[in-house]
Amino acid sequence: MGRSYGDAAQCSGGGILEMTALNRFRAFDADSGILDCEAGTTLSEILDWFVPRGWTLPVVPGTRMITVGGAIANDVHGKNHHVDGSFCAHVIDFDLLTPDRGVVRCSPEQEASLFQATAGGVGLTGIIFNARLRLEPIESAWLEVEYEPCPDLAHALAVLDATDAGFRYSVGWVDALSGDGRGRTVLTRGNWLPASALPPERCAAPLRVPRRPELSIPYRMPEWVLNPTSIRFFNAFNWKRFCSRKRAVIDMDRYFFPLDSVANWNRMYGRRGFVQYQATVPLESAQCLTELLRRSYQNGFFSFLGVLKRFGAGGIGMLSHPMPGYTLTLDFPVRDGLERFLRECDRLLLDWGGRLYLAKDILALPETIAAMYPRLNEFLKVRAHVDSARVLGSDLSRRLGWDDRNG
Amino acid sequence: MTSEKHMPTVLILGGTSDLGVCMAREFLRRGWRPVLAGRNEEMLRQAARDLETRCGITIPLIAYNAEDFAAHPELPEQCRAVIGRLPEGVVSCVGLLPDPDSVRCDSELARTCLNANLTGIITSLDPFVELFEQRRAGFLGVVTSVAGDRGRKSNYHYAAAKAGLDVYLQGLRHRLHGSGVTVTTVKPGYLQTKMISGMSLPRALITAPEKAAVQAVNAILNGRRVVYVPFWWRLIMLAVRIIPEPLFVRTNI
Repeated sequence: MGRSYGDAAQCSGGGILEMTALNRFRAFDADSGILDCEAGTTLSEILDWFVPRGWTLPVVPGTRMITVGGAIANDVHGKNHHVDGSFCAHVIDFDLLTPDRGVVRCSPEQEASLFQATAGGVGLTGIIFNARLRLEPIESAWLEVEYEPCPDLAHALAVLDATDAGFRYSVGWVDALSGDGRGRTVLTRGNWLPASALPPERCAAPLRVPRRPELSIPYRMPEWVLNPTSIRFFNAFNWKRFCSRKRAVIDMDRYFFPLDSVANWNRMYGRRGFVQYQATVPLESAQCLTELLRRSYQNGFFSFLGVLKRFGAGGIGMLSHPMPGYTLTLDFPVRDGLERFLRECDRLLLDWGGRLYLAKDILALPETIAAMYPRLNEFLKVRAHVDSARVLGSDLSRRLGWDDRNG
Repeated sequence: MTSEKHMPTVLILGGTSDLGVCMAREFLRRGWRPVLAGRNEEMLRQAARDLETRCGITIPLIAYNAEDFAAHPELPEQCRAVIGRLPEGVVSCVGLLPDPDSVRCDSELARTCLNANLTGIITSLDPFVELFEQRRAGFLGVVTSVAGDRGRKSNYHYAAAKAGLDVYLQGLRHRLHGSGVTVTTVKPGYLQTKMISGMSLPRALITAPEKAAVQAVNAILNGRRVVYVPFWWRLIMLAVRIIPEPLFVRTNI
């Protein structure tokens, strides 16, 4: 799809495999809910066809516009991570084309180490071309969502600890500019609505998702468009909108994929674009996130969007990102000095035992990532075993020096 | 789920081509049941399995080769055999773009190009035209190409066949006027399909087949006459057509 945030799907001087032509469905078993499809199929396509039939994906990230292969390779997570884990926890198996060993079918039991290396392995172990996923039955395409405004990030973290278990889906929107970087937060948390509880006007077609108007950012905005004042204005508007209600019934597209309603939203950030910085820390290091937010404010790097989430147990992949704790995602428009500032953040994160997300990282140093992912050596060994000549690589694997190491 | 027996059906010739697959999905999305006709059995099976998985109905298949003229009069019968009646409409996505350098000096290939892109499609549609006219209902949707709008040095065999098809469809529209049968000519520009793999073309001119399929199916179901996909190809081809020949032959378009 070409939608990656970082350099995991870039390869300067080499070729990039665009997999979206492999988008055929292969089989669906309505008893077990297992869907067999080619890896270039987008999540959007799956939802389009299966939600009307009463099935949904158990894990979806903040966008529908990614492929199944990409979801496995990044072991993506969603708003229900604290309950259901990440994407690969719901993958039955996949067929992986490896440079040295040809096609290998991997599942958590069969070829377990290759499965674990590929889940979150950012595409470096081979080309995923088929996958079987478990879908989840739903009665309606609607969720009942509760809004909980919190005066600052620390308060939001405490609320998450206390009451997150009551919600299947939970996420927080952080206003990174408020209160000198203390970050007021609105938690939006919800559960699927059973068909019987739907408002009467939705009962006729409980599985129909209303179409949204298609907005688009027509061209790249100049960089001054996103400035502290405009971001504050936007945030104030958002805050008002969220606080105007305590609870609401909203459709799954609006809850899960708010950004998909604005095509080419990345153009907002101007010519130099943005860096999405996703920091995850263990439960005991929650303070690190408040510190990050405070520092970014003090250093004048204003995040346009901030997202807070509490993670559950870690993923099956050797390089799976989630771990029990909290994750804070900040979108920084690229400005002079951002790289140096983010390197400082990396050090802070490392001190607190946190980690960055390979799907989004674009700046970190090799030793930083190595310290964050204890199973990296294991991963590199598996990779050396299936691709000894390093046929597959990316800007990320070169930046992090993985192409010269055998584990 | 609607019972497949009650769904309106559409026969898609060339149903395994990249555009054919996308159009089949688009018809399915709108509650139509596609019948796929194609040459490559394995690809036909995969395409059917894809559609069947999407909505849990069975997709009938017909072995079809655009160059096998003798079999074409049997097509309506073959449809009756698999769906029990005539389809509501017929769509052709058959297209073959031969390598321009080979086709110039290979008469076999030149003949194949004309047969697959022109003769075979005409002989496939003719039996349906008669039956649809008697029934006084139905639609034909045929994918030609913007290439047929003007002969160029890079693909004139292909363009000649497509232009011939355009004129055939024009004639059909004339004949079928007022009969309740609609005839739609779909003229795509460059689509991101196997057909253009290996060509170096400006990215801005390339359209995803999924997007083209939506527009094509819209046009066919609305009974439009001639549509360019995307629409702006109409302007481009207008410009290409009005260049006077003495000038045109000097260009490198």
